[in-house]
Amino acid sequence: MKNIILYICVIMLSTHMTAQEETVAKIQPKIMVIPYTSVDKSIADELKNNDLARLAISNVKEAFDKRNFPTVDLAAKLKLLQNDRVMELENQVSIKQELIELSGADMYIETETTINRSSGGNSVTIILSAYDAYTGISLANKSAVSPRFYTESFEKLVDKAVGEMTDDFMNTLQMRFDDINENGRMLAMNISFSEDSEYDMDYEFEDLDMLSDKIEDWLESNSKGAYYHIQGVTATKMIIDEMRVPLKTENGQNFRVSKFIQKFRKFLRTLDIDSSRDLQGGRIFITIQ
Amino acid sequence: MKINTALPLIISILLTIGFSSCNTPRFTGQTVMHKATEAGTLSVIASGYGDLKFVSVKNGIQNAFRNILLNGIPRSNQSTPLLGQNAESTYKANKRFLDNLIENETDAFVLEQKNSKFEFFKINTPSSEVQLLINLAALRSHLEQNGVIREFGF
Repeated sequence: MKNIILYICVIMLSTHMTAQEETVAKIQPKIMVIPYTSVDKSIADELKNNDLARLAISNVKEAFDKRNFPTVDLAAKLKLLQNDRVMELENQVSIKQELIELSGADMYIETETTINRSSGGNSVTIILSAYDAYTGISLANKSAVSPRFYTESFEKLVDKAVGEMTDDFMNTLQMRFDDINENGRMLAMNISFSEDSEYDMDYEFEDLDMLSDKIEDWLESNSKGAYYHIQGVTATKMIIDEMRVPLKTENGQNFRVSKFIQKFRKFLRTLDIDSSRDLQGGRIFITIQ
Repeated sequence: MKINTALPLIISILLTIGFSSCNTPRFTGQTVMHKATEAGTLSVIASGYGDLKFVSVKNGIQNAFRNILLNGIPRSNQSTPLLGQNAESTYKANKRFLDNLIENETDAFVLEQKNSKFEFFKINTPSSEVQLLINLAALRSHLEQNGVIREFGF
């Protein structure tokens, strides 16, 4: 009898756990659609002055809406930020990066529109490029050229070109999402040292391992599928430009980057090393004291 | 026409039909993009084979849906498999549902259909070509709602 009751309890518990796992919704990435800008133009100016870019952005956002996936609105974000630096004309590349970081977007899609004029008629070229905001890795790319018409109504050409390419662009992006779902999401990590730190990456421990070796070993056993890529190591810095972590923990909860950092700092503590951290979405900055 | 002149002609026609029937037909089941369409739809031309017109048309439609699900249609709105990267394994995992979809439920996703003339005597070319405008968005949504593919996102 005891065994039967125990058996029933185990079944009920496992059913409850499965149900709990299913109720935890996966945290979806935040996506922002922005216009492509050259170095000498600001995003705000481009958005204000380029009607075709605005139209293309709107069409891309509409494609996301149709897949029931809301996007971060760039115009609303710009107004919300009220950030004078965004309006400045100098150093636009870093401002773009800053805008992406401040918006909290995990991914951004650059939309480029170009007008082509010729004696055979006019057309527009649209280029859509999706990037991971933290690692800069390209996620999906698609270009399309509208048919040529003897028209100055470029809005219709943009509308047609974007309409014909969004489905395939979204499918490519979904394939990336499938890959992330299976192999983990991407993070980037910078490890540096405070000025008065007694450690550096070449610091040698009793077992003759250097600090960089210890960190690499930890990364190997704590990244999903032991997937990590070190961009470079110097005595004062280690840059991990891509590593994979799971979307969900073993008990079905969403994987939190803060927990990952906490685990890493605890590991450093076992080596008698103090550290501080900064976190920007999926980009981690560790400073060893 | 005299019988002695007509007979060899009839025999040679019958022999031609007989020999051509003995050839092994090449069934390609190809599906190609017909024309560019707006997002959410897909215009394709699919090849169908069969002894009767309705059989070959049905075969063409089934080939179109099978290709969309498993291979994608190059240069179209769905150039990658609708079932995703691991299309073959997804198909195997949902075989009963997808077989039923291809066999019985394709009509619900066809917005426009135009059938070519039925070619009974052709062996190595399709008996029918079917021009289809498919409601891709509805098909995707149907697969999502039935848990065959995941919704957009992680």
